[in-house]
Amino acid sequence: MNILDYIKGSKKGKSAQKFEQQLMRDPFLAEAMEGYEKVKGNHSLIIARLQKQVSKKAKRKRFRHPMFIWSTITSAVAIVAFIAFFFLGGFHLHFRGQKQLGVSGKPAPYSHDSATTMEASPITSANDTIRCIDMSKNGKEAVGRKPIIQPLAKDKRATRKSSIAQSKNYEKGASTTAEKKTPSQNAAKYPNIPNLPLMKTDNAEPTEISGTVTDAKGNPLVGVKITTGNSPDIHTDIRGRFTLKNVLKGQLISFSYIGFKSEEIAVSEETDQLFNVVILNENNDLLSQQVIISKDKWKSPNSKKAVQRASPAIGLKSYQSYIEKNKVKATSDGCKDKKGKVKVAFSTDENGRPYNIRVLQKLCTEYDCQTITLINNGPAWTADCEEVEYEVKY
Amino acid sequence: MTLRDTTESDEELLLRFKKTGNSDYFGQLYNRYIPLIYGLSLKYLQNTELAQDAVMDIFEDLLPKIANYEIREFRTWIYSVAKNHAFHALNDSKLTKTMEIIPEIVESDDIISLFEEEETNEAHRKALYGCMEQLPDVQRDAIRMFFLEDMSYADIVETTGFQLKSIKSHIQNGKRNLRICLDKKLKR
Repeated sequence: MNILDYIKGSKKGKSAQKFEQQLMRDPFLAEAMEGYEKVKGNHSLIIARLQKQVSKKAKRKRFRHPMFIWSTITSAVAIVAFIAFFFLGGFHLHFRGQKQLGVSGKPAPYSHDSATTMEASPITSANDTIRCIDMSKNGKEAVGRKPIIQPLAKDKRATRKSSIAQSKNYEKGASTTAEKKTPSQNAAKYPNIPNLPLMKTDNAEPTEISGTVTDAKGNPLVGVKITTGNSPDIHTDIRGRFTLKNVLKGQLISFSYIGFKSEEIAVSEETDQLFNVVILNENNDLLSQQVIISKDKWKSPNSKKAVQRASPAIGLKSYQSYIEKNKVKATSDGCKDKKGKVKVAFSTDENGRPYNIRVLQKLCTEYDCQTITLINNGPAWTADCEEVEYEVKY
Repeated sequence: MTLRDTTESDEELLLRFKKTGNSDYFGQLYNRYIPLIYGLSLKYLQNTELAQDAVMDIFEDLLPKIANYEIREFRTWIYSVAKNHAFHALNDSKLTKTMEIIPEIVESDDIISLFEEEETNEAHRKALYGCMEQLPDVQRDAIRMFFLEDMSYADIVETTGFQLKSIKSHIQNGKRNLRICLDKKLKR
């Protein structure tokens, strides 16, 4: 039974049940269904029309070596322009301009690198089910976060070696900083280079890297765009996995995803293992919106959000003492001396379980994350609340 | 859909396109997925015009590039392409909506396959029925009707008089509880 038949039909009987079962397993199908349920229209007609349009366009576009045509045109234009310049005496000016451009030289961003050495210490919540990885930053505001490369291999030394290897490649100053500041398990360096040049390395053998891109909680991110200088873009699959072939050591790989800061990571000498890349966002709100696991996927969020007087099922006082008992003092650099409050908002399902927890007022990463975790694992609230706000003081 | 391509797999079609450069093949492949891409775009963009634009934009965007991509499974790949396109479109128009990420389907997969007839592992079967007994009545009934009696949601609504929403959530919660119970029993 296809999707349109299901929608138009009575939705009864075995074939309907089979379709519904398929919906449970296939997120693509499920999301498309949501679209059809939400929006009215003569969808079968529209789809038929779209398909005709696509067929038409596909028939027209045959690849007739467009490159050949373009290269002839551009070279003709270039020749004409060159001659024009030469005759008008503009040639000399142009030449002088070129020299000036050449002086700008080495990319300056390297000097920032000492400031961007990252550390991460995983914080486990009381239930050990959710891990919020904390990042401390030197020299920048505490809100943004950066990616961590975690090799799946249990040898944590490999990570340290790789970060040191990377720093040796890029600048001498930062290598000492990297060695000193890796007390915790995961450490990596993030040169903030906008382009993707091929770095000079000892070994120029192309290798293959595979890995998974996840967010701070370990959820795989689907459709993360991965760019390298010399291969076409790929995307992570439905499990967040990717494989990059023909990667040279020292090459930069860039990960970008909506709502997340685009990051470049260099392939180090230790990189022939399976890498897990965790990318974190720079905007706390979006993270909470996009990544918190929804308890009941059939709930469609309403656009109207009324702030209601909700309360914890066990009572506000008991809830507060739960929070107090499970609060942990932050140890990361950006957070350890900070005092203040984190305000969150969330909705509750019919069991009173919070979902869509998002941060309204941030304090610093570790505390924000901790708050989300506490709420997520904490006792239930009144059921079916659109928006509940709660504040935790640190 | 009356296309002559229904016997070939997605990946085969894609390969044909790459080899021959004839974009007609990609057109056929894309057409297969239009209902899904359009529906997904409807979900995020919330109106038919925008969704139609999305379907055509994605096609035009992919047509010149796709020959160079190494795609393992077209379905999952096009899913993330469509979703990303929708997110970008939303971000541009500055609509801030809360979006839910559908939780890992793997969990449901296990439970569903346990109910299917191919499951011949006796230990699993016994554990499953044992766990079902431990479910709250409403969940057990809903699970039984849906998975064992092959009743659709509409059928169950008709029989029990419960609301669609409640039935869906009973099945959802029931599956989750079964998963937890089974994990305990089978992992000792």
